[in-house]
Amino acid sequence: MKRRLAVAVVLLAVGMGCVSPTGVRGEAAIQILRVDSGRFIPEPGKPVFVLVMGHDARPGDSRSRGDGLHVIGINAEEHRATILNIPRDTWTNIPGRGMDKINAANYHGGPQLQARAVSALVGVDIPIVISTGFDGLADMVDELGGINVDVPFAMNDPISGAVFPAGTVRMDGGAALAFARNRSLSGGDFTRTHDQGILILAGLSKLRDSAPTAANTIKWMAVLARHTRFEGIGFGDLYRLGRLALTFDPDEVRNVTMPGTTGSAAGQSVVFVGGSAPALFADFRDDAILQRN
Amino acid sequence: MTLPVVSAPPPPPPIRFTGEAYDLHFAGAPSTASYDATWFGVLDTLNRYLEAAVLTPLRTGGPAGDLTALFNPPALERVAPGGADRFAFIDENLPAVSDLRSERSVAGLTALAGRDGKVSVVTAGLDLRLVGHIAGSPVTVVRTGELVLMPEGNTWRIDAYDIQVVRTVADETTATTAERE
Repeated sequence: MKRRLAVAVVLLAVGMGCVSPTGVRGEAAIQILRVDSGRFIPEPGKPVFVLVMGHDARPGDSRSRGDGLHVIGINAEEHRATILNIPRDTWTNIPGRGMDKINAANYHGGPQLQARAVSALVGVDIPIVISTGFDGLADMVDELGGINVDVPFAMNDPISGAVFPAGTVRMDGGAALAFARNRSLSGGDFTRTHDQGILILAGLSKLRDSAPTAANTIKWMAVLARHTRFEGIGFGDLYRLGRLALTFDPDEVRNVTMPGTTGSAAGQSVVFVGGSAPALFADFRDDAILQRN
Repeated sequence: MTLPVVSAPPPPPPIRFTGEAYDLHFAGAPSTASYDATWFGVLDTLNRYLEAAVLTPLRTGGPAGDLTALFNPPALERVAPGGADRFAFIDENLPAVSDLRSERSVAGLTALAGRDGKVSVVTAGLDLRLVGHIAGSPVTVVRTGELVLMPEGNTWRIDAYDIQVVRTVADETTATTAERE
């Protein structure tokens, strides 16, 4: 059976890559919501874009920033996908609020505004947001029985706990959390957000390797649902989303990070959108596949 | 005068899917609120599909019945006349089959219920083996795979599938597969 885990984008993204560097494992788990209304029925031949967001909510916080921002573009017909990572400090226009760091959108307007801000920056329609805090990441990695992560270079960061050799490393939820939070990196936030994309890929590979039937998909969805709060999205939509995610092979997924330059604006350290970013976004939004980047 | 007694052969048993297993998963607290309704509703759709798409054309050698209420629109397009997956779902284009009977016709269901106890997605694993004759030659139609059904009002409709059908007429075998994620 080729129909594998329906939870794919959900589990892999929710569970893997989206954590911020500043929070703690706390009360927030996973939230999946519709940005627009109506059913989620992908149009044949059209790419689908999903925002995966890690937030920095601490226990008791009612508001948080969107500190891990990844747009997953899925081209079901080509069985390919792209993960576009957006640095959290990207200086951009937030609809209705003006210029600010992109991660402030979640603080001011929740995932809906975060999706609108990312949509405005990248130029794609984002119908679904998957959001998680630290519990969501660690719990779901553990539910998966751990994941194999392709660590791009040796890490030794006692602050985050990211102490890994280069190469493939088997990680449980805690280790994955440390990998995603490591900021002692050359390239800083650019590298960290890219690493989160690597985690997303590792999660997808794990799910596909398990090669479940549609019936197993349902079992995984039940596991996911116990960790998740849904807003405006039903299990039918979730199943369709998962099916989409399983149309692509992890080997056919590009993991790219928005180019940018660091600087300051309004007294803050920020990331300015790089000169080559508009071309990257244009390449991404037409079919979710990067042909020229 | 005593009339000769002629006994008619017993009618063939009806061909219907029967549920072989029912595995219900819950996002929240377990509940039996929609347990029976889902079971009977899904089997009803499966049996209406069986009658319209399989038994009617096989028995008559004619076209299939109306499938409109049995598939969600994107899937319906693919099984409509000229659709890419019609041949995998519908047993048209064969002469009428006589002595049609089932050697196996079971469905195993796996369902997911939300926190409210309502079931919103069901997978049905099918195992259907039909036999009969065309002009004295044996015919076998074996259909296996999985259907994914979602509710539309009070009706369960087929939304996705991964299905295989193997048709053997005399000694000639044709295998067809269809998949919609």
